[in-house]
Amino acid sequence: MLKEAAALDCSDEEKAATIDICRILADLSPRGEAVPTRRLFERLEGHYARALLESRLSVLMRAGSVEKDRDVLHEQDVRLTLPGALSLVLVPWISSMFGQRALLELLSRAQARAQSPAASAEDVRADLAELRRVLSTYASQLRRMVDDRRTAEMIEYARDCDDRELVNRIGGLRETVARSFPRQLADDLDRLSIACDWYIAQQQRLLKLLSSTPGTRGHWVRGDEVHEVMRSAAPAQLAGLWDGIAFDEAPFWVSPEKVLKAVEELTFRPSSDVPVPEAGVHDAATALAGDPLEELRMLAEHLLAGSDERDLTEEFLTRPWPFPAVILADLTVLAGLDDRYMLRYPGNLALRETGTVTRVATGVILRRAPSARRENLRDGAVADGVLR
Amino acid sequence: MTAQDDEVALSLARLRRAGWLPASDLPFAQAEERAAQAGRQVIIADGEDGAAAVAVLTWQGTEPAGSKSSPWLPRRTLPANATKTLVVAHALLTDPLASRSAVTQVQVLAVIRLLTSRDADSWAVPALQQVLPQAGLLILLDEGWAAGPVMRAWDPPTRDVMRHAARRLWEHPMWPVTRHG
Repeated sequence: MLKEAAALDCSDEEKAATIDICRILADLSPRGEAVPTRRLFERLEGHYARALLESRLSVLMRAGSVEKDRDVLHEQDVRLTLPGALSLVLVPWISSMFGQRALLELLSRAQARAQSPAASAEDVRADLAELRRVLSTYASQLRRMVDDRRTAEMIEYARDCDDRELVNRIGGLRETVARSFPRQLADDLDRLSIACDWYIAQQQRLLKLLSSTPGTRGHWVRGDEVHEVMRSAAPAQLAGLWDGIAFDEAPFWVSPEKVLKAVEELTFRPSSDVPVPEAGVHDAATALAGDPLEELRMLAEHLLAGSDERDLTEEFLTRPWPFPAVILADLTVLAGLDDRYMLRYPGNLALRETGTVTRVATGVILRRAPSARRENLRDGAVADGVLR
Repeated sequence: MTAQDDEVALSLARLRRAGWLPASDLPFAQAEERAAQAGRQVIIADGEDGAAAVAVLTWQGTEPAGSKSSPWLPRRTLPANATKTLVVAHALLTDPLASRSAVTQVQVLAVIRLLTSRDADSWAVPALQQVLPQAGLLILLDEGWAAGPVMRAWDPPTRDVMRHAARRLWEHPMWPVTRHG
């Protein structure tokens, strides 16, 4: 495991290359057959430099994560071993264990151990001591970060730190330990409390600094950034920085974005190529089906089936999805456009179990307005008269 | 500080401000050394048709883009209308079928009118007469506007963008087909 962890002491790109080598090896040989290194490099050379890939592969082979197919000098074929396959899962997990999350993880372990009936006082004491050491180390690191005004790191750290959660978790651990081992571990708990207080004090110092007024922060953040750039920049960047500071007027710069925009403006062609649509021909069949409002009325009349009011809840519970939603939407539109139809919501919820699922529908009542009834009757009478 | 140092500093300041200087006005070796210390370089662009050679201040590698956050690296971006005028003038100057060494104001305005169906006198004339010569991008000769020292010393990325822009204009159906300089 230590050998696996040693592979983490490298840059992000090296870590990513390591993980990708393991992934590609696993993908290329699902049955465990050996993979030619040439093929492996071909797959990855688009993403990483060849030298980097070679160095990562040799690190993996030293650690035993990747092995040669045959133990001969110029063997070109390799395969992934069990530790290599495991590192596919473990490396990203360990890499993300940073900041307060790692502390919380440790606390969870200590809490679980303290709650276990089989745990001895010595085991719990060792856990508390380990936690105290980590807390002290974190607090020292925080103090240095704040003292040195390392802005980027401070913001990174503050992003996922929550001192209240940490205090609560340590309080919970104290109670558990005090209950399980009364008086046996009192000194250890006191020492843990001191370390925790110091850590919290440093964390609050950091948060206070980050939340200070922009003016105060600007006082040191800006200088800090310039300092940071000057410490790590290449000569060309330094020249650019100095160029911006020292001269009030830079030479004109031809911005590529503006050039492309200028070309767009100069070569703009109104869309005259789009053909003008021909005049349509009257088609009686399509013209009849045209009025959507009439279709909605037909739907309402179909549902009402001649009566003035119909409770649609049952309909919604039985019809397959999405018809209930579509019908409700259609009727809502109709009720808004035509005042002869109304929707009423009594406010009840209806449930029906069908096999393994339960359907839910709100109570909805479709009503014909009284005036509409009279109108329909009159229309009906007129129609009857015509027919007669 | 010796008089020669003064001279170098003065010519560097002039070079820095204008972007270019007649090569004869610049103590090249010292200027090159100072420029290299600042991550920049001085190159000599030969004049065309017997024009005097000029020294142009450029960047080693690609010119860095302006930074939009702190620390700010201010760039004096060429204004949009001047950029548009420059694109047209450059396309006219580099049109492979016309082989022009200079373009006139009338030609530039006519091309803009052909391409956009609008008059450009209000913005293209000030750009041609003031902004672009001041930036060293165009230079006024007897026969019209020719490529200025800064244009002649463009870095490859800028040259590529401008060539791409010129090609787009040449392919436009309204690009003038009169093939004489």
